[in-house]
Amino acid sequence: MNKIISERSIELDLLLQDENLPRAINRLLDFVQDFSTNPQFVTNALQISADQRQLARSIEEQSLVNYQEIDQKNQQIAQRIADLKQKIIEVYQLAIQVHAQNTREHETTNVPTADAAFIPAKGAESFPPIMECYGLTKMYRKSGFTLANIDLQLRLGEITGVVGENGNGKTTLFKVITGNLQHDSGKIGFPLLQRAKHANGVNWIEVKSEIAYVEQELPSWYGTLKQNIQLELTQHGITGSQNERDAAYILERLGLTEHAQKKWSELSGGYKLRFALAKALVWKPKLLVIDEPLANLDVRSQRIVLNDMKDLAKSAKHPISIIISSQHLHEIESIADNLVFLQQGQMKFSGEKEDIGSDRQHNFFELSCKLDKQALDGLLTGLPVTEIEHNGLSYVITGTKELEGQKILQALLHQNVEIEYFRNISNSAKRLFL
Amino acid sequence: MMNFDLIKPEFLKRADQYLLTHYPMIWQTRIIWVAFYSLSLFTLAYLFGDYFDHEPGEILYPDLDVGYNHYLVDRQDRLAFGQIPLFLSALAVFYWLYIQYQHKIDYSKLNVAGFLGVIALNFACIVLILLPAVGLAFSAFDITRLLNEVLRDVQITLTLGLSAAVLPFIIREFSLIEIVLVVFAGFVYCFLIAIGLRLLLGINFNSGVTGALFLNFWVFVAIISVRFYQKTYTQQTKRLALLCLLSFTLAFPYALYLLDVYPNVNRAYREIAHRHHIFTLKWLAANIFVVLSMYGMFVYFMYRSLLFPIKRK
Repeated sequence: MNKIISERSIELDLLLQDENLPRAINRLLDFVQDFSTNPQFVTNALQISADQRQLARSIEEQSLVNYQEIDQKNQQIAQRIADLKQKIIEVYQLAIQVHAQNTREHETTNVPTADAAFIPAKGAESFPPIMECYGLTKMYRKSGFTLANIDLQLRLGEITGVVGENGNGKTTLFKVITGNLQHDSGKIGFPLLQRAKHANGVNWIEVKSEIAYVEQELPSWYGTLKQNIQLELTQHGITGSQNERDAAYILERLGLTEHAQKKWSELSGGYKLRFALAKALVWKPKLLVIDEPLANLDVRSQRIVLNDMKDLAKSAKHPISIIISSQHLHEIESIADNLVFLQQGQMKFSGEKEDIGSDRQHNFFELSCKLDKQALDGLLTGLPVTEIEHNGLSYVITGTKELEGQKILQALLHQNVEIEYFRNISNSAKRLFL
Repeated sequence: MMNFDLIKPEFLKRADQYLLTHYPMIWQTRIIWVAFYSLSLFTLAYLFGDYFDHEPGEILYPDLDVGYNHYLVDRQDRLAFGQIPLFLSALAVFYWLYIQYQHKIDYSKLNVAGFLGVIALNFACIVLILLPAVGLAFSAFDITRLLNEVLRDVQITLTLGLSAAVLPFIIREFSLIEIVLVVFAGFVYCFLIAIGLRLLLGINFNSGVTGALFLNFWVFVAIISVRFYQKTYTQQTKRLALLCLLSFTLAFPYALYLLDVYPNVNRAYREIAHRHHIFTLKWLAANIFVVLSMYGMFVYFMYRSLLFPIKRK
């Protein structure tokens, strides 16, 4: 456990060294959430975040232009982050010692142990999967579409990306997993969420209370953003001052504080998604299912949302299993631990993303340049290239396993070819779409 | 657009915030705002109606029993002070339902008592929304006959609108257009059954056709209950369930007739709001308490069944 807190501490130090304050503050908020139960620490972290936001706004609006003053204020905030982090570590280590002492006393005198609920539990890999399904099949008689033989396991702290073209069964799979659509055959279970057996297999009343589902079409809501977050918390039994604190935390963490009093119609698409995420994450579900969250986001918002998801899934105290679908392969690959590729309702690949292409016979490269196919073919003569295709946007170069990216680049650069884009997709989900 | 925040008292805002962070089931009914606006409008309506108060019986129509129809033609009091406010109140009920539609409340942790409690609060909201119309009628009408007619309209609206108290539990399961189409299809279906029975079998409209529709209603209830119990429901089952919920208040008076509460079918329906028995204990007990209790238990069963996956073909 000490290893996790020290790793996270080093990560924070590195962010401060890089002067990446926005990211450092996000990670500080995660840090305080994971390693502390002291409300004062949470309040302090929120205050630092608010001050940093205020400073960023002053710089943006040019009400603060003095470079030295800006630098000084940034350093003050960095120092406050470092101080708070240190305090949290000290209290945490003290709690660990007390917990260890109580455990020893418990073993000898059999008295109840001290409440060490805030001490993060053992590693996620030692838990059974949060959801598992085998041979899951769903058929639509009207359209004739069948989602067939889905084998899948989702674990706490892991992100699973589901990729595939439109109409290949991603949403159907999500609806089945979240208990919104009945499957025709196969087995589905939630070993970590369901305490007792149920006559119908899965007790969805119990299981659904631990699953958050963010649909592709975000539903509208009434009232202000903050009211809806607080309602979500109250409905999950978090009331009073804890409710206020948790709402303030998630709003700040997802960059929604400035929009807290806005209504549905006043938010842009990106903020609507962040609100949906805040609403889904604020009560700390065990499983988060997100259908095509990146569809309507600009590049910057995509990066923010993906970073947030990655951070929150890997939380030390409340790890979440996230399953996410998207057409943005590169972005999904960057955060996912596992990938599922669906094609015409069939699961063509399921496993760790590093395993994609491990049994391949060929290497694949994407190239964008101003050469025509014949010229390119000529330049790559002598390399073990088997096929060159143009997919409308770029060339896809296929070769034997001996074909390396460096060699292609060397051949092109040697002839002073201007390369616009080049990527080795041999181990990427993108090659599954070829 | 009008900013309602300007006319919201601070103490109610604090109370609202307290309910939001402690009692979400009460908060989501918006009862404190409904009560605030309704009681304010009731007061205004009462004062407004009093301003137009006059004694037509003494001046223009000395014998109102004889000249009542002339009075209604000459003056449009009943329309202006009775039916238009009632129509506006009914629209306000729809707006309240729309707000409920936008809240995606999770009722899965509630037990039957909790469901009944929320239904009672919802019903209280509907009563409050109709209050300004009653206030205007009370202050504007000095003629007992006119007042009774308006109050009877209010009572009919309230009785038939009982289903609005349970809609927040299931309304989110449907799209708005779906709800409209279900209501429309229900009307067409009942109309065709009635015409068919009358023309083909010569069955009497009052008791025979109502009896057949009543029987049909329970067949539908049995089908949807089995489907929900077995967790084999489809979207069509949900639509049929919505139709049954909406039409239960129409079917209920016939059950009272069968139970010998009323001597004939007409009486059972007229007693929903007979002019001499407006808002009586009998009506409260039979049409409000029993109907709301039955609604509560059925919706509890239906809501929990809906948490299981739908079977879609």
